[in-house]
Amino acid sequence: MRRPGCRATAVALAALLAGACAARSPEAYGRAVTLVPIASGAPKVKGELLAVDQGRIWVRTRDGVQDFDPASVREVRVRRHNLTGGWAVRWGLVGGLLSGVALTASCSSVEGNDVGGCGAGGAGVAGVWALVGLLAAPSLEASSQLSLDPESARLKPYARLPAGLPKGLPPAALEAGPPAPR
Amino acid sequence: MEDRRRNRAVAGVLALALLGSACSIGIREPRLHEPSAPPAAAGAPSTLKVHLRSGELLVLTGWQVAAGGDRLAGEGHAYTVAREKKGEPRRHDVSLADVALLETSSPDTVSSAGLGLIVTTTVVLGGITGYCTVNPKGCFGSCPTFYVEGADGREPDRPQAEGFSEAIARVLEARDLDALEVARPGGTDVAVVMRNEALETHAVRRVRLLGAPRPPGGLVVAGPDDRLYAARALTAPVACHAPEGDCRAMLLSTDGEDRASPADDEDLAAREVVDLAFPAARGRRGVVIAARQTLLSTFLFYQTMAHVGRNAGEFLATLERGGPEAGRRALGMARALGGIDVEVAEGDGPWRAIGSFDEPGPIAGDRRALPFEASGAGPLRVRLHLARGHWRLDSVAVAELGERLVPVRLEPVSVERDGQRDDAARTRLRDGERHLVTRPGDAYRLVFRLPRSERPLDLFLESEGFYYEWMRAEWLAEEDPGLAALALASPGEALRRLAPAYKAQEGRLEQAFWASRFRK
Repeated sequence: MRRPGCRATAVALAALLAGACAARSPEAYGRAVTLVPIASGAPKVKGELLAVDQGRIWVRTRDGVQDFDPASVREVRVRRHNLTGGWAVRWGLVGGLLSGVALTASCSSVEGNDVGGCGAGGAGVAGVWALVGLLAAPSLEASSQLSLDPESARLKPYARLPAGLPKGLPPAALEAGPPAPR
Repeated sequence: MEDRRRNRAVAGVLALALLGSACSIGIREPRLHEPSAPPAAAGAPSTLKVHLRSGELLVLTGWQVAAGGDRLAGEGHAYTVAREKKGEPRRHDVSLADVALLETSSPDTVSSAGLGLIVTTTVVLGGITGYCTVNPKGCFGSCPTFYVEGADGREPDRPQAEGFSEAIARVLEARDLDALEVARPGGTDVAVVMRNEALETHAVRRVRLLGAPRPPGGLVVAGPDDRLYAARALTAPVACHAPEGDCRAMLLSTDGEDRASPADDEDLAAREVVDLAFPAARGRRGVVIAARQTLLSTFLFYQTMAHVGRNAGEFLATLERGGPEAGRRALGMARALGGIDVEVAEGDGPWRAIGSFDEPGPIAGDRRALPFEASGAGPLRVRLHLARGHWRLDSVAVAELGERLVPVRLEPVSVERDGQRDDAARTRLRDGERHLVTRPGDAYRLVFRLPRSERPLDLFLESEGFYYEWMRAEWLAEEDPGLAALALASPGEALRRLAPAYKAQEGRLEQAFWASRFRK
């Protein structure tokens, strides 16, 4: 009972780490971006950066292709890698859950150990994982994104169509593909 | 000492720095090129993204510009403007006039303290178990020895207790209680030195001292369930008969002079009988046995490790994964040897089993009482069944077993290492949350403060943890997977096969073992 639990924990964590480290933007698509509006209370927009053209920023969102006036955007955050703050929190929760359960099970399987004490120990370990995940999240979130001025020429290279929208192409033609980044 | 601490701190910082740098995150930064100035393929990034004016894309893994400078050719995938793949990878040849932009990307890295924290946590929380299961050479184990300092501050030559002898892997982590055969006045301090004297790594979770007031004319003994009892009127045997003849003189008192027999030539599990006689008794009694194992069990353990040889890592990993059941199987040969099974009979009455003395370990003896009710119907007979050559019997007595005692359970008030206070070690031994890991030659001096008591306190040591034996180069020469498997699958047969090897060195094992103590 004990070691398979530990092995599963190790495999899951390794997969979590390796998967994240190996994560790449699909080569043919534009980078995932977050548009932060100037207007307070306005929602951020997330999606795939399609193009910067015709004085607009074109983004494929979950709601379809939308274009935005750079003047209404405070900054554009471009995803550089997938080890985000959210990933760190998930790492802490998943790792903590697996590790805590495995440790509790293995501790309880040892003759003479108190199940309640084992559970408390497992919960403590899980808490450490979760805490580390929470502490690491801000740093990873910051490194995972590049913040650019919406008017910056540095934004174009991250677009799917860095040369701009082809003439005569209806924006709806760009809606196909995998779900837009959130 | 200071140098060692400084070196460890430096090593720790370097390790963390290494972890942090090793987890820099790879990224790719795009770079655009005008079609009129395509990047050279040689020495360039491995892929070239060709953005066509139509919005379509070519991703080429190798490319070249035609001699005229107006065409670009290369191998790779083509994508529609919606980024659907257009067929299989093939050679493409396009006019640069149809190209809007060219894009390369250069590898780069970003580092994050958060990732360093995550990796360090993963390594620390998962690393110890991983290291021990994958690489037992640096981790594999025996048991800590305990020496109670005398009033003059001197350590005895032989240890009074050995902790958790059968806990040869983490999965077998155990709590152990040993009688120290020491009584001290209440209100005094007792210093116990815990040593790692073998090529082993010890993981000690807790060490406690238990004390109970010694009854007048008697002593405190532990039962098979680790409960303590007041034992009075200890009576020595009036007769003792073993296969070699009269054994009474050897078993009269607990004095270190013990009775042991040679192991069987053909089967190490072969058993023998020792018969003892005592005066008639009535009421609650206990057969009190003081004994320790010979080095037969140690030989078998070491031999198993030698047979496993280079596969010791897999063996331990399997043991750890298999849980307690696998642990019990791994100890199969020890189980086949068994403990000292005790029967009693009164007058001409029938034999009845009252339990077993089965305290593992060859280093320090232990004393246990096996309770039973005596009717007084004639002289008391006690029969011991034990594997030949497996036990050193120091004394056997019958005692009047009194009330159950609740001992005081003491944590160390101070812990010293190399003459310096070690509060971190003290915290670990008191809290029991994390193991205190010791290596060959390590010694910790634990001081316990006894409460005030009108009568002297009989002392017991409670230890909890596990250990890993280190693999030794000379063992690898005896690698024999067949015998290793046999020890697990058929312990009885393995004990027959190993008998000649054990008998060849039985006479000199004890001396060699005590000479191999590892001290700094």
